[in-house]
Amino acid sequence: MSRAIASARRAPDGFLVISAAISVFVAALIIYPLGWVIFDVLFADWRFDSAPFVALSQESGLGALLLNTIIAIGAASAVALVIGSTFAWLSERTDVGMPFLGKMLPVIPLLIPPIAGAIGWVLLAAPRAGFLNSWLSSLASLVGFGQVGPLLNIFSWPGLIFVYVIYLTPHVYLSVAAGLRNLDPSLEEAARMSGARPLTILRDVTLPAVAPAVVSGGVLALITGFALFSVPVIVGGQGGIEVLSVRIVHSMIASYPPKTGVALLLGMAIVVLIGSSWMLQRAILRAGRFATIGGRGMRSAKVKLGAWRWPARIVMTSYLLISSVLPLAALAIVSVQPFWTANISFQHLTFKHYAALFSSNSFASTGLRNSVLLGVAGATLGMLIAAVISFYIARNRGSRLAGLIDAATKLPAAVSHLVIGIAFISAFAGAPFHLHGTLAILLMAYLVLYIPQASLTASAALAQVGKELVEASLIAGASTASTFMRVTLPLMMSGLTAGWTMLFVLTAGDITASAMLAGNRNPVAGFVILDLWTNGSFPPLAAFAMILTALLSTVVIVTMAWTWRRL
Amino acid sequence: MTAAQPQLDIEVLAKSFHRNKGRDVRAVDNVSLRMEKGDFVVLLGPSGCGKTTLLRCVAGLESPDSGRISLGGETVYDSALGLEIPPERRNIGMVFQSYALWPHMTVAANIGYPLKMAGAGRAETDARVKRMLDMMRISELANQYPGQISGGQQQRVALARALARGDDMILFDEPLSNVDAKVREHLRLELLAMQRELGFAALYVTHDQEEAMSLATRIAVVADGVIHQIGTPQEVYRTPRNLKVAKFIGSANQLDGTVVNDGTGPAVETPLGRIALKEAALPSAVGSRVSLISRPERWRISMDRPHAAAAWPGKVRASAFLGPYNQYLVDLGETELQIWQQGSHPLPIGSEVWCQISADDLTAFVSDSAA
Ligand SMILES: Nc1ncnc2c1ncn2[C@@H]1O[C@H](COP(=O)(O)OP(=O)(O)OP(=O)(O)O)[C@@H](O)[C@H]1O
Ligand SMILES: [Mg+2]
Repeated sequence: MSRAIASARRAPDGFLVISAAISVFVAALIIYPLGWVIFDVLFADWRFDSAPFVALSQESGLGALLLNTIIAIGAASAVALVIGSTFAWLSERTDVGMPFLGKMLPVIPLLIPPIAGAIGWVLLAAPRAGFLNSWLSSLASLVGFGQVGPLLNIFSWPGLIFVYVIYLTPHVYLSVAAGLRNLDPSLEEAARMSGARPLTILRDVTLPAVAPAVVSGGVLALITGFALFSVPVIVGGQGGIEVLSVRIVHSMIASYPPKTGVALLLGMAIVVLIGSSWMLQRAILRAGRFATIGGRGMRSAKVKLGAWRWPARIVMTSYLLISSVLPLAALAIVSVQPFWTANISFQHLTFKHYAALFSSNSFASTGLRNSVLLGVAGATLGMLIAAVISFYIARNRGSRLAGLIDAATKLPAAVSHLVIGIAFISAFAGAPFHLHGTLAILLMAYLVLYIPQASLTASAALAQVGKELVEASLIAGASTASTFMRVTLPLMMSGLTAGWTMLFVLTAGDITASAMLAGNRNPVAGFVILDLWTNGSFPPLAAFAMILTALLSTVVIVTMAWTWRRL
Repeated sequence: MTAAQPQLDIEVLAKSFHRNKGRDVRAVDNVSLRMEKGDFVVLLGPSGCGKTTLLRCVAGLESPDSGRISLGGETVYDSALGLEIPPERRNIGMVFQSYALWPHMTVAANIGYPLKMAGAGRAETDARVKRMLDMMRISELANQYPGQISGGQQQRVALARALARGDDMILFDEPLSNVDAKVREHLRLELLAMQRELGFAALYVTHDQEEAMSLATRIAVVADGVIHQIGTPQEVYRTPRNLKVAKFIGSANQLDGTVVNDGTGPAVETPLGRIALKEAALPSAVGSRVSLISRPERWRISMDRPHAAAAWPGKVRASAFLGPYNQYLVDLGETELQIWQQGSHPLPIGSEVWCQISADDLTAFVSDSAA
């Protein structure tokens, strides 16, 4: 250590210089467009410009818009909180015994992109042609209820909240399950030995002790929900329920010239909502004390569910059906129909939509190719950059520059994808960069959008490596660069692989930024999906969603299997 | 609940674990154990021998595969009857290794919890908690949270909580392993005083022999899921039942040899030569392999040749001053001996010395091939 410092003083370490340069560049890539758009919109010509506020006040139905957003996402987060926490408790602390489901649940949003799931549920529960509606009404007439109208309507408040819940539940589950896993089980066992029954323990010990995880799961659901664009654009649009994220994207792409000012101010509203969620979290957590006193005893006596075991299993399995199997099945069926109909006839099956997708240079196949390309490039670059940045921050803890870079990499999570999208358009699309509709602007935007997740996984992976191993290498005389290449990077590999997978899936399946930044010349998957949706061409849409889902899940499953084997 | 009933009665209890991609592990292998009120039984054994598993079976936190457990005459587990009373209805106190204090409850709330669960009234609970706090001399901590008090204090709170309901049976899983040596010694004495005063039966798991010796009324030496010997600390130390116990308890020198008898009397042929032993001290017939075990403190070393018949010349290889005694490693040809002896100045390394021991201090066991 002292030698490393001494040598650093003698000559600046080349590797640290390079990693500082990369870190600074990325920080600039995050801060510059945000600063630019705020300046450009509000302080053009160096004085405060009130025009955007005037434009905003002329927007219709702002109150309803805000209320819709809060009700839909608030309700969905609350439901997701209950379901996700219950599932986490069931699979971590009881004898429900469904390890497969426990592994699957958190990755469902990665396996099936929300947009595909949302479309799948439209196919299932649209009032007229929805499969479930038609099956339910034939069932009803079969058992003698006569002709009934559509029972389900996905284009409604309950429908919208329902689809939100599907996609918010895994976030809660992940957080609470991790909290339970880290909770010393002897805390609960001590309560049992004190004579408390399982449900009493849940109330008196487990819930208070994992409260931080539950709260942060709920806040994560809120934040994800506010920024989610795919679900409300599909489900809410038809139902006449507009939320903030949809209005923002539409202000940018549905009018010419884009209403950047309005979009930015609405984006600020989302930032405020996210900020309030964080404040809520802090306020709740400050009220209690949660320091867990660590222990070694890591086996726990599972709560015996007894007669409740099967109901619990059925409920958990239903979630899997609802969130993945059913919508995928609907997509699969429609993708081989000539047109979307609830009457499934096997004579008319056709693979022409798939064939069209793969025919060279169609709009859709170009989009898919671009997305894979951007996914690979974005994930690889993103993880490498995140690794370098986390290494740089860890080696320079306490320095002001490192602190600034650390804060900058967290910024995109706080200001939401929507604002970043707006910022990128106004900073890079026009002069002097002229990157409008290019793959370059998309790649840069993806890097910035997902840098928070990337650096989170990278620094978690780095924390696992342990300071001693790095120091031992430096003491052994290795330079910072070869320490990074030979010790740190290989040991971080499994964490980085997981991060790469997540980044790939998020990038290739991105909708929000793609909707704003991609163009007809350089389409990407998310852009194609929205285009097909707007045209109402369901079978090609279903085929495209199937292919995208298959592609993403294959990558996830292959890399997951690969890392598990290596562990 | 008659007085004649043992406090704890374990009959041929068995529990195996299925290892991932491996053979089953018999963590508890047909163990029987009976404890009376006031008994302090310490389970002592190497890591992984099944002590914790046995304890957790008694607590009800682990489901055994077969056997029977009864507490104060009431059966709480019986595989034949398919009976298994859950832990919350067994009325056992337990002190966990990690203390397991609930971080969101004050010290007083932690201690009062078992009473609350037992349905005690507010006033009764408060009075009892106050008594426990006084007894542990931590009254001033009542309104602190566990995160705000020291390790030794946490330990006292955990003990107070386990004792609060006044159960007749208390389980301890290495409760002192997380506190430093000084505090450990102190808490050990407190615990002992408490147990003798309140008279509960204690089943206590530890690795630490000194701890076991000082606490136990009886020590149960466990290895591979089996209780090899159970007896007072003196019995277990002085007259170990087999080689495993002898080698696990205390420090031991081992001399392997063969039983011979050339007419002058039975003896063991060892690398140090022929050592005569009494017929009764020999566990097996002429020609069989035996191991002679001796305690380091039973050996004597001197610079001059002693007059006693059995003495061997050797050379000091290592020597350390430990305060109460000196510790030596002595080479007798190929054989290495550990010897503890009092003396103000340890002998220097390389000294040529004579080692002697009385034949009564050599205990012969049938050799186990694994050893
Ligand atoms: N849940 C489990 N699954 C599989 N094997 C287990 C499980 N719990 C314990 N074992 C095995 O059972 C054996 C006994 O374990 P146990 O914890 O009872 O040992 P111990 O004597 O308490 O050890 P230590 O002194 O290290 O605490 C060990 O070989 C252990 O690996
Ligand atoms: Mg143990």
